[in-house]
Amino acid sequence: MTTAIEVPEVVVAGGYLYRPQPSYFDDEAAQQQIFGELLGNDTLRRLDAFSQCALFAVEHARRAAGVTAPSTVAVAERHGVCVGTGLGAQATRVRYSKRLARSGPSATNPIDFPDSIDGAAAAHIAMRWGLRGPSLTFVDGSGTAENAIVAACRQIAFGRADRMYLVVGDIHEPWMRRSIGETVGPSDTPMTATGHTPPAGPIDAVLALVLQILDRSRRADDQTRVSGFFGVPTESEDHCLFRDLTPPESDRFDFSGALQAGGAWLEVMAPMGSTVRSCQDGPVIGLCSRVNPATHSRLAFWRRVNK
Amino acid sequence: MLYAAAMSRIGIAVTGLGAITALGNGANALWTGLLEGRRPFGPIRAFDPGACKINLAAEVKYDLPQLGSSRTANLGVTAAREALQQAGAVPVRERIGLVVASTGYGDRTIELALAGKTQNGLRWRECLKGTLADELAEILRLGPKRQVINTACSSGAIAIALACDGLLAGDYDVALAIGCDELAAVTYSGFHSLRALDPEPCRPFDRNRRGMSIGEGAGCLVLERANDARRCGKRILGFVAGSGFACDAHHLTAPDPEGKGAALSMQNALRQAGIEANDLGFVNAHGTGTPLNDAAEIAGIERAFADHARRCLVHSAKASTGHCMGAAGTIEAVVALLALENQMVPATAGLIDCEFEGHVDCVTGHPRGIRANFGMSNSFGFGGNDATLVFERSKVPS
Repeated sequence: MTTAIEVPEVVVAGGYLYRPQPSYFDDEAAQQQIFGELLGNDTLRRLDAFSQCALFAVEHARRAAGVTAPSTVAVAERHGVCVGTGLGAQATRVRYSKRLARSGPSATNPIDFPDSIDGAAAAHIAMRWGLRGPSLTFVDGSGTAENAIVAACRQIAFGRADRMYLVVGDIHEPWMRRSIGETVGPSDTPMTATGHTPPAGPIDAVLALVLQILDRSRRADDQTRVSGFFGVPTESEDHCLFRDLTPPESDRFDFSGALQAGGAWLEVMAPMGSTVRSCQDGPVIGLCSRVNPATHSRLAFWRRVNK
Repeated sequence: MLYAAAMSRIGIAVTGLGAITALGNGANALWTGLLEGRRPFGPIRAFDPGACKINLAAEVKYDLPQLGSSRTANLGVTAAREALQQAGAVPVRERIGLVVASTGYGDRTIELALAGKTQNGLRWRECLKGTLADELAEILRLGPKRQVINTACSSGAIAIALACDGLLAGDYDVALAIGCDELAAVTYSGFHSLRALDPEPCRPFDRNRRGMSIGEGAGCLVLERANDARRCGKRILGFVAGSGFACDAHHLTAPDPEGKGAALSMQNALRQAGIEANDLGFVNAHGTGTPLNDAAEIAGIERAFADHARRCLVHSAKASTGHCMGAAGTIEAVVALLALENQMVPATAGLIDCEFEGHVDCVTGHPRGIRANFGMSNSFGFGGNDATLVFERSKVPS
């Protein structure tokens, strides 16, 4: 059974990878950077770590995409957010659960409960930029990046939104980090895209992408900094979907961030089963598949690693 | 063909329903319980509510099969098995997709590990909601295509919409949309700390309502492309005619008091279904019973439906099932489909003095007969997540 649905092309207008070293909770400088640049008030400072990092990454992805003006109400209804995270707001959830276990319900902070839900990051992003379109949060573990990317593209392709802010990543709470580190040793971790064995345990990373509908009525170089496409992998020289329409520009908005993000994401998720594939020019990272229902082709968000 | 056109031309048929709630095991128990206006609320047995001043919830009393590692998984399996049995033959497992909605899976694991009640410390994989889908897929013998969504209380409805997307895109030939959540101390104490719980069984839309009552359960829909279902001679129980998403972008917990997000969600669903508000026979409201939520939802209905709002039948199933969190959207989808099939809208149990008289037509006292082909189900959640589904009655008498 095939279903031919006309879909517009979805383009990546900008992106940003936030990857604290070695981890968010140990990297005071990274936290200061977030607070200084974006979250300069106490209200935002209290947000869950993942929400903070997601807001930070989206802010930079918006800048990379050249999205600066506030949206009108009508436009905002067509802009949405899609988050893919294995753990969500785990740091807040653990803090909340600890207080509950030790001191009972009366000791818990009412603010912590809503901020501990997986969808908190999407909610904060929607509130900060007034996004009134679809708001989705995937919590699939090993498949979460793929599913979130596919779903974000489909919101555009199926006409529910004109622009989606996509966030994929995880920030590991120290208790969970220790737990995962104990069970995932270096011996059973696969090779990464760059050929290095990742350290034991998880790595913090949050990738934000601005996805939007391709306006065919405008010249390609007149688009909002189009940096890549979701489309069909071909046997062409590029063998990938990140066709940089404006190569000199692409360096400036650091879309190599996608490359790093892929690598980082791969490392984050490697213990849970993400894959590294090979093509004629070396390894590529695959982040998603089946984004284009019109063709039924196996689609992907590819980038050659060593390009 | 654009998506909305594809939705109407290809059509997504519902071929199986399953539900387990405090009203009983099975979609039939849910339906008869709603028609009878039962209110199965009582003191909590699942955990010690400790210092919570309110001790009331709608718990599932049925002995669940112990197939999964958690009560949430066992609830999901129970509902899914009922739905799959009703759907009859399904294709090879590789062509079956699974979309799961759950808000609390994993919280219990964290809770037990923190309390030192587990032998091996934290089993971190059991904290990941993806594990729930893996577990359900293994028990139900489904294929590798699975998604887990958590958009708080709208998760169940969004899971159904995403399953429809997957079917239209050809990802799979049959989709199971399962919403499941057990009663958990974290969730209960969270709503308690927000002062969102009613000390008495919840009274959606009543002038004296004071909050929600939490429940637990699971709902499941088996979905197929309509032509495929007809070709296989399946009994079609109804259709998913459209879905709408929106976000309030207003507050993390409080709804937009003007109901703008809710209205947008309903309008988007109507647009996708290709119908007008006056084509609807009823709205299965999110209807939690909190003063702010109910008022915002009614404001949203008025904003979306204009003059038709006053004639629109509105009811809330949560007055009988409690608020089942991630399962609510799927359970209430089952209710909406049964209401269309039986041409009957259940009354909102416990609703005596309706605050919204003259704004909408809240069904009180006794079930109301209808003659309608379409019904709507709303699900709204924390973070201003709004999701609306429009269902169409099956034209073939069942």
